[in-house]
Amino acid sequence: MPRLGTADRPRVLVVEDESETAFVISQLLDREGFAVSIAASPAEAISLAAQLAPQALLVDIRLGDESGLDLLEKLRADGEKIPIIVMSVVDQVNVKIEAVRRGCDAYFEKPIDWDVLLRKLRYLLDPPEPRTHRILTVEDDPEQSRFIAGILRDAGYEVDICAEVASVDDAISRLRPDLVLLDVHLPDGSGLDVARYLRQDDSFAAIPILFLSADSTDAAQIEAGAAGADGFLRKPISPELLLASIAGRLSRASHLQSLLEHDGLTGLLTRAGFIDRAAALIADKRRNADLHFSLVLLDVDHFNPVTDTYGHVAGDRVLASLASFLRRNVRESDLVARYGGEEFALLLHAPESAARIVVADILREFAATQHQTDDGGTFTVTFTAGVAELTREMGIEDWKILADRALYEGKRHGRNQVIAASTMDEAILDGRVLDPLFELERRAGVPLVAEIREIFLSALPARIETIRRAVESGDSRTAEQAAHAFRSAAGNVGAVRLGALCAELELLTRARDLEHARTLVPAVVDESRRVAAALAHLVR
Amino acid sequence: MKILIIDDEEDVRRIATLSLVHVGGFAVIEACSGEEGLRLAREHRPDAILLDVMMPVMDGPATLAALRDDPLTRDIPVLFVTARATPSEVEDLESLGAKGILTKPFHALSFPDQLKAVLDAEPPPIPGLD
Repeated sequence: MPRLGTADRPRVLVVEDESETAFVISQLLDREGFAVSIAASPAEAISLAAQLAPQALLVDIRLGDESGLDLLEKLRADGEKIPIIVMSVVDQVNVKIEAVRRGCDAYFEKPIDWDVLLRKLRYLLDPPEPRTHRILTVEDDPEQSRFIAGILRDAGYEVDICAEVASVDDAISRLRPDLVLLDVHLPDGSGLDVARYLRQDDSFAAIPILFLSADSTDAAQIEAGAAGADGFLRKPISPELLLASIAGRLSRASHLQSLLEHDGLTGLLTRAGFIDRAAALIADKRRNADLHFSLVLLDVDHFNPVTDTYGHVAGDRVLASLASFLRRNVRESDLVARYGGEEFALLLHAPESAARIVVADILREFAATQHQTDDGGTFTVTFTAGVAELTREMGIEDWKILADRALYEGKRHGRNQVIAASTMDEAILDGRVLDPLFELERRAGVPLVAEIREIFLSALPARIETIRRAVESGDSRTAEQAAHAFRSAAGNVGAVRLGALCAELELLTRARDLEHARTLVPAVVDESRRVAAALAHLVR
Repeated sequence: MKILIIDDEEDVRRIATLSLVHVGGFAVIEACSGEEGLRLAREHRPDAILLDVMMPVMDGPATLAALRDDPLTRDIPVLFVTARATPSEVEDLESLGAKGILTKPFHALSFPDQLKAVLDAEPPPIPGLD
C-alpha cells in the first residue's frame, strides 16, 4: 500500500545571539513541527539563509542596535522573499514602523505570545491560495462598462457586468463576487441603495464595495461611506488607480476571510471553511467518478480528563501538537481542519482503505508522543477516527454522517482506533451465510452450525497468535497464509467484516508491507473477539 | 455421481460435504491434503474433484499437476476452490487446466447447483464416466 507523502517539516532560521534563548525557541518550534536552524549573528544569518533556503526567518533585534534592521534590508535586497518575523524588546513605534518598512512581515514585542506568533508564522507560510478574483461591475453606461471590464480582465480578474438594480441579485448569485464596483446613478434606482442592501446581509459583511461615479460631490461620498462603501473613485479614472484600489481591498479582504476561516489555536481551517471546501469537491466527484475523496473525523480520546488532570494549557498544547502532526502527515492538497473543541477533520485525496492506513499511521505515531505537563511530567494521548469515502450519490450531509458514524463506532469499541465506514454496514455475522447453514443443518439432521462454530472458536487463538507472531517477526509468507486461511474461516461463519479485514491483511502481507499489516492486527483481534462473542450467543 | 473434496480446512469440507450429500444428492469423499487427495483419486476414480488452491506442503496447482501426470486420474474434471478470485487469478488458475473456479465461502444450499452448472458447462461428458 502506498503511504501518502509526508510533507517535509518547514525550516525556520532563527537569528538570535543569546544561545539560551535560541535553544528555548528552537525546542518550541521543533515541538510545533518545524525544522530549526540557528544563526548567532547577522553575517551568519545571511550565509545560512543562502545555504539552507529556509521557509521563514525569525529575527531578534535589540534596542539601539541597527544590525537587526540592517539585516532585514540586506536580506530583502538579496531578493529574499520568504516571511520574516521580528521579535524585539523594543516597543517604540518608530522602530516598529522602520522594521516593517525594511521588509518584516510581522513584529512581535517581548514577552512573546507564542500562540499568536505561531499562528502568524503558519499563516505566512501557508497563505490562502492565489485564485482568480471575481468582480461585479454595476454600471449602466455600456461604453463605461466595456472600458472598466477591459481593464479588469486584462489584469486577470473575472468580470461580470450588471446594468440595472433589478438584476443585481441574479448577478451576485451567479458570480459570487469578491468585490463589487458600483455606479451611483442607475436607470432603475441608486447604487447607494444597492450598497445598503448588500450590507444588511451578513454574508456580504466583509465584501469590499467601491463606488465609481462621475458624481463625486462631498454629499455623495459621505452618503456612500454611510451606506457601507469601502471607497469612492471618481470617473474618469486611470487604469492604474482603479487596479491599485481594487488590489489593496482584495488583499485585505482575503486576509480577513482567512482569519475568519482559520482557528486561532491551531492555525487550521475552521469547520465552516472546511465544509465549504469539502462541498466544492462533491461537484468534482460528480463530474469525474475516478476521483477519490475521503473524509476523516477524528476526536481526541478522554480529552476532558486530560484538561482536568493536566490543565487547560497542557490540553491546548496537545491540540496544537495534534494539529501539526496532522498537517505534516498529509499531502499539501489535503485539507486539515479543527472541527470543534477536540475534534478534527481531514479531507484526503485517497480511497477509503488508503486513507484509513494513513490515519492509522498518524495515530500510531501520535499515541507514542510524550506530552509535557507543567511540572515536568509527561503523558500520552490517543484519538479515534472514522473514515468515509465520497460516492457520486452523496451530498455533504450524508458524507459527514457516514464519517461520524464510523467515529462513533470506534469510540464505542474502545477508542484508539480508525474505523472505515464501508465496513460498518455489515453485521458482525451475515444472515445470508448463516441462514442457509441453518437450513442445511435441518435437512441433514446434523448440528452443523454448532460444529462449524466449534471449529472456528477452537482454531481462533492459534490463528491470531500465528498472525501476530509472523507479522512481528517479519515472516510475511506465513502471515499471508494465515490471513488467507483466517479469511476463509471467517467467510464460513458469515463474519463479513472480519473477512474483509483478513483480506486487507492478506494483501498487505503479500505485498510484504508488514509495517501497515501491523497496524491492522489490533483491528483483526478486536473483530475476532466480537465474532467469537456473537457466535457464542448464536442460539436457534 | 461421486465428488472428491481436497481441502485442508475442516469447516469447508464439512459444509461442502453436507451440502453436496443432502441438497445435491452426490456421494462425497474427503481428503485433507494434496497427497491424500491423489491417493483417494486413484482409489475411487471420482466424477469430479474440488481442489483447494492454498494448502500447506502440496498446494492446489501442484496437486492438479500430479493428477494430470497420472493416466488413472488424468481425465477427471477438477474445479479449483478459492477464497481469492480476481479476474487475473481466475485466468491463471484456468490456464493450469482446471474446469472451473468456485469461490468460498459456499452458499450452503445453492452450492450443488453451482457445481453442476460448471460441470455441465462443456459437453460432451468425459468418456469413461458412468
